[in-house]
Amino acid sequence: MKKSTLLIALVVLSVAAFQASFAQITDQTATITVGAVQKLNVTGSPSLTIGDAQVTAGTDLLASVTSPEACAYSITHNSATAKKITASIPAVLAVGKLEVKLGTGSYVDISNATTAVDVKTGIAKGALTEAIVYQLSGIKASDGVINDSKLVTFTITN
Amino acid sequence: MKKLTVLTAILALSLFAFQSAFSQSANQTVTIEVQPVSKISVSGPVSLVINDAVPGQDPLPVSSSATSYNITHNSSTAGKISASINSALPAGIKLEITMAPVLGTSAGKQDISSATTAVDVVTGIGLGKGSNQTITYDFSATLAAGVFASTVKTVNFTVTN
Repeated sequence: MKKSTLLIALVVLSVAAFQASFAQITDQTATITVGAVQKLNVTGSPSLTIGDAQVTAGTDLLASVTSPEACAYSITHNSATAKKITASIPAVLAVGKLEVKLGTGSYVDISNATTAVDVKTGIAKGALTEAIVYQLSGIKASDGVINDSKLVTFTITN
Repeated sequence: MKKLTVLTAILALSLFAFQSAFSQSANQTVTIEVQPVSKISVSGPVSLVINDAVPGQDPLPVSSSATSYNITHNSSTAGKISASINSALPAGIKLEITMAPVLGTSAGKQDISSATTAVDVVTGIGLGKGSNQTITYDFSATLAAGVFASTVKTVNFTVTN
């Protein structure tokens, strides 16, 4: 009787150990979200200079253009809605015309853009890096010597 | 405690999405410079020939207003145009020049026959531009100077502040 009791106890313990060796299963809900991402940055320190080389005697001052290598912008967004980039300056340009061109687009006049103007539209989701080219023109000889700087604010928006 | 954690996570995600929905900006400073510019150019060459005289007098002088100059000047400092000749003419041969005063004051007719050092022909040039402004040459010779074979002279115009 004592032996049989011991045997039974061993069997019970073995079964318990066997069951415990199986994986224990439980469920967990993982909620994952990719939020709307839109990032924009610009590089370069553009400088537009008009000097003797840009002038023909008897005419007003010719345009100055930054090189395409001088500055660039990079944009990343993941929205199904196409984005656009706007540009603005804090104060109207006193004389002449300041234009900006993003990538292969056209020049956009930002001389009076204290309210932002569209400089690139229809940007589909993805990542993009393109050149920023500035052009200064419309300066007259009678405008005299100029030393100025403008803070151009680019904004990515819907 | 578990509910509070979930609530906090949801709130954080919502805030992130909310912020992302706003526009994002980047700034760039554009430097603009227009340097002092003083430029002058002249139209083609001029030819002056003396070949006549009134009997009993020196040869008849000749004049030409066939050429012109263009100028651009943007410095607040008044500019001037000066003229010089590459080598002096011999005695009795006189070459004079008068320039129209588009942006300043003409110095009138100036003798440049010996002006290997520049002489002022227009002064007080202000900001602006001018094109096709007349240059008048007056060429004269005395009988004593005799025949003067065809000679090319270079007249140099300089605009300075």
